[in-house]
Amino acid sequence: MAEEKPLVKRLKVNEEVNAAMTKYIAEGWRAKKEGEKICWTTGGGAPRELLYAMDIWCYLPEVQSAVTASDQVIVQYHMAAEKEGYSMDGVCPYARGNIGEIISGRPQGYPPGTGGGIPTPDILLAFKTFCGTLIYWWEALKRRLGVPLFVGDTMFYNRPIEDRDVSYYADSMRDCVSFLEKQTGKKLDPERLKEAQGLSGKVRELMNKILELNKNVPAPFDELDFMGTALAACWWRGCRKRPWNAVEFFEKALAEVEERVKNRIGALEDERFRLVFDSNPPWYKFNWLGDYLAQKGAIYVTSSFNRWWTGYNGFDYGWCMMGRDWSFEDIGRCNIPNWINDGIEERIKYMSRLVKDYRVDGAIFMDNRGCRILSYAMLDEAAYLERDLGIPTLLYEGSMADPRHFDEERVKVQLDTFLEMLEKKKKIKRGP
Amino acid sequence: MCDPIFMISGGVDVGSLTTKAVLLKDRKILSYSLILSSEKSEVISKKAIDEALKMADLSINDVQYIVSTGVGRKEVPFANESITTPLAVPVGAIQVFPTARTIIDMGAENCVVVTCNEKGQVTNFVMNDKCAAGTGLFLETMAEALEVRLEDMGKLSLESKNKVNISSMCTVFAESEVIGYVHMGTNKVDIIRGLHDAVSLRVFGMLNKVRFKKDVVMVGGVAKNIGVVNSLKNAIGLDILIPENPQIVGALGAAIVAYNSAKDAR
Amino acid sequence: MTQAVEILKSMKRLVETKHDRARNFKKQTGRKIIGYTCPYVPIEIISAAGALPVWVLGNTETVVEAGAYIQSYFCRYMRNLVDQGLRGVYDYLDGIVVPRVCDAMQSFYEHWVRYIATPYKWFLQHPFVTNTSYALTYWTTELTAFRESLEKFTGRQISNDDLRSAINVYNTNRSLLRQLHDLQRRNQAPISGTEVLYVLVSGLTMPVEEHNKLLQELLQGLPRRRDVPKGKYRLMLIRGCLAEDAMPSLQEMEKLGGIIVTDETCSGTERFSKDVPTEGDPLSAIALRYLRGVRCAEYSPMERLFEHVLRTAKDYRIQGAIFLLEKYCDPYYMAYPDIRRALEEQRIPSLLIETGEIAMPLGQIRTRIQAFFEMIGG
Repeated sequence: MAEEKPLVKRLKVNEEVNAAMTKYIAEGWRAKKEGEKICWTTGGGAPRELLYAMDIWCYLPEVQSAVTASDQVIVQYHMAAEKEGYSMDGVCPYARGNIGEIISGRPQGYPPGTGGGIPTPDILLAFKTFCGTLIYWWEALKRRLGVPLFVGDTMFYNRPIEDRDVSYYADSMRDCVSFLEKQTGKKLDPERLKEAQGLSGKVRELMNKILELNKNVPAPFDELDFMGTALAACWWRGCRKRPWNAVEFFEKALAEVEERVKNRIGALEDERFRLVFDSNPPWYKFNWLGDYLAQKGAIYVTSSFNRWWTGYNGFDYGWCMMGRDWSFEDIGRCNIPNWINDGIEERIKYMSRLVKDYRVDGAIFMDNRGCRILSYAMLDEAAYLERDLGIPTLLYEGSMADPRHFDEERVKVQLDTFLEMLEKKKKIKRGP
Repeated sequence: MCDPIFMISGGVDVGSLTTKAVLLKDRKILSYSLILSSEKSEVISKKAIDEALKMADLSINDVQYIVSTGVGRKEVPFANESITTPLAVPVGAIQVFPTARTIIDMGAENCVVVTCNEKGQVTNFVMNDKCAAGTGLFLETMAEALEVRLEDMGKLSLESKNKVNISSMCTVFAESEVIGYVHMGTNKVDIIRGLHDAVSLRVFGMLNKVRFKKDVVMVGGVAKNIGVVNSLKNAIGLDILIPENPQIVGALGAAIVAYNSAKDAR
Repeated sequence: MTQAVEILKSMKRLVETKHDRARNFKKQTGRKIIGYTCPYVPIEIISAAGALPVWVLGNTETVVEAGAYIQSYFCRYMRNLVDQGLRGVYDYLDGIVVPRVCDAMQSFYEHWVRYIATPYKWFLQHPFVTNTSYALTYWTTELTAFRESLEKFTGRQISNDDLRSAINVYNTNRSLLRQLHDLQRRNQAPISGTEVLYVLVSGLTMPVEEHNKLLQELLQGLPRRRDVPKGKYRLMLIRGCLAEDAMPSLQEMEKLGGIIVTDETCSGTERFSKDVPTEGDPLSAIALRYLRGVRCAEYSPMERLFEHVLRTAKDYRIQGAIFLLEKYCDPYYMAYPDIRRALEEQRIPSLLIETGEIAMPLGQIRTRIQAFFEMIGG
């Protein structure tokens, strides 16, 4: 079948972000050659802002694996890792992709037009605000690469945060500062950290403004389309070096989206079904997914994932704001609560809020066997949406970063059937 | 507007193992065919419809509207429309049993459980986990391993008086388990019953997911296996209705959808 | 029949009757039973509260009901626990205490408390980092909060003396288990791995004082045992959660000529190698032991796990390591390639056997074990 023109009006900002990612990788390699230290950090509530405040180049292997998957080259890395004993079922596909990339060696700029392999690290930094897998993975990296590792820690956010939880995070951060100072020979300037936190807060504020605009009918952008840029924001939040300070990207994106809202332009010409997704998407297929749904007039207008750290309307994830007096305790309160660190009840409440506020017609979740922490409450959420809120819900099998766990034909059958169900429901709602 | 008289519609179900075609005159079955999917979909779907046409003494031009379904539904060049299997099957099931509200379609490679309303419209559905027992292929592999005919598997399972636990949920491992039991000298009918229980346990899980309700209907090739049907009846505590021709229900549903589409077009 | 074999038989019976015994215990003593799932739960505190701590254990039953809440790509062991809970197997529990360890355990806790009405529940925020002073500070505050919540639930104070008594009796239990483990160092270990599993599991489901008595008798009897296990390949078993669900695999290994003389599992040596210090404030001592004294594949730094495995493998003259890993077990599968390599460097070969719902059946496992023994034998 010939390549069809994409039905989804994609955001222009994505192209700029992709170019910036490529540049960040190239610049990092150059900096490394000049003796700068490279840090690999976990994506969770690891205090990225601290790294930027100390001008340390930082890369997120999780994001790298998502990009490698969307560059369509990750399977060879999975296989290289599996050959060394990293089980396909037992080990996170982000980790297999990353470790496989180390084993195989990925050149800069492979495949052509992409950033390629990220610079090898001199420092490893992991914070336990997400899954256990990240810690096991960073320990494995420490063993493999022989570079020092710092592990910071906090609580599982299934009860209200107490002062002692915040103190623990703050202590971890103070220790982390000592570690980084020792490893790099640089000293942390508190004013720089304050600036970085402020920038992070600004990015968060802009992201929230953009995400809010999708409450409009028709939705001005595809939530799925925005995910790549959202990931970049998470990576670069707090970075002052342009173009990676992310603030400019988001100001442009906000303007682009506001313009669409003003002119009542939706991402789809004919928006028929507003959808929500949970967990992360199949990175190797996410444009395909957006376009496939668009054929039937279906579009993702919101997700739990894009807001994992920005929070929403009563869910105080990451409330650092520009100009606010900061302390390590403040930063702790900011980074401990995030959607990925939540219990089931919180996730259900969060999902219900999104579904109501965004006027969602249906939920299509990828039952993501690649990430157990993201999927562990999915069946509970789906049952709640269907039974209690009357929102039709579909779960299809897949993995966020292992294409071998995604069966396109099966997924199509399920999507087609589900969208037809939504169509029939809509007809019934409209009446005779 | 009154119901049109003398409208011929057709449905074609291109499955992984067999391809079926059904011709309707208004809503009554005129003829049907069932052949092996031995060639690619474009070719085999034509052969199936041709056979049905021959039996009804008609030509393709006499058919007003054709809907395709099944794995090869998008490769049927003469179809006016295609729909997915979970959408076609309940329409066909309601035609045979108007009280059908839960349909289990167990084919060669896939198992789908669908709940529907009185019009045959899907209200909920679930497909089998890719890597799990519960299909015709699973039973066929086991029949070969036990050197028993596939057609006899169901009957033999009913002769068993002892429970045998088949713990593996995947074809490859279950086969090893079966061979292990054979070497241990376990009675074949007991192993066969164990296999049928494993299959019905899988389906039971799917039924729970869609919150099934009666009447429960089973279609597809595996519906002819009395062992699976029995085991499932025991698991859910309800009767299971089986059409006389369980394999053509998908094609029948597609033909009825074709009839409705042609009617709407007028 | 020797005294040792008598005791071992009775321990097997105790395991088989664990639920009936628990219900009788409640009726007879009026005391509460609190379930836990992991060696990082300080059972001394539960015991000092007057409750009987009982480890919630996996078995070989097929997962049926839990499939509605937990997908098939989560570890079967944890799904089986939730399934048992849903079916009422553990309906005599007055409480459930689960530590922060792996994501599966987190999912277990969240699902258990959502769908199973156990009156008392506590999620222990166990630090993921075990060697810092501030982790110990935090862990101590967590245990303090835990102690207070238990006092509230039981309606009685947990005094420091209560804690000290509990520490003593559990230290005794650990010491006896270490003595048992010591006997396995011998060339002709007087007890097999499957027998040890019954010893361990029985202790997890009964009052510890009674288990201590049985252990003392067992230790007296074992040196005199004549029908010692005949296995000649000395094996180390490596697994996360170890309970009766692993029994078929263990039996197979030992039937074919192996003998499991040591392990790196959570219900095994990990649980009893370190005592709680008896000096100073008892809660602080408990906090210290349950943080610094842990070494599993979940927490950082992981060097201690490697050190322990290599040191013990040498000390026990291990000829082969069996990784009996649960499919989907995140921590162990991430560490497996490196542990295997470290053992290989010490010229100790490894065999990986995966357990789970979609896993190699015993027949095939048997063949692989036989081939492994042929390789290490001779």
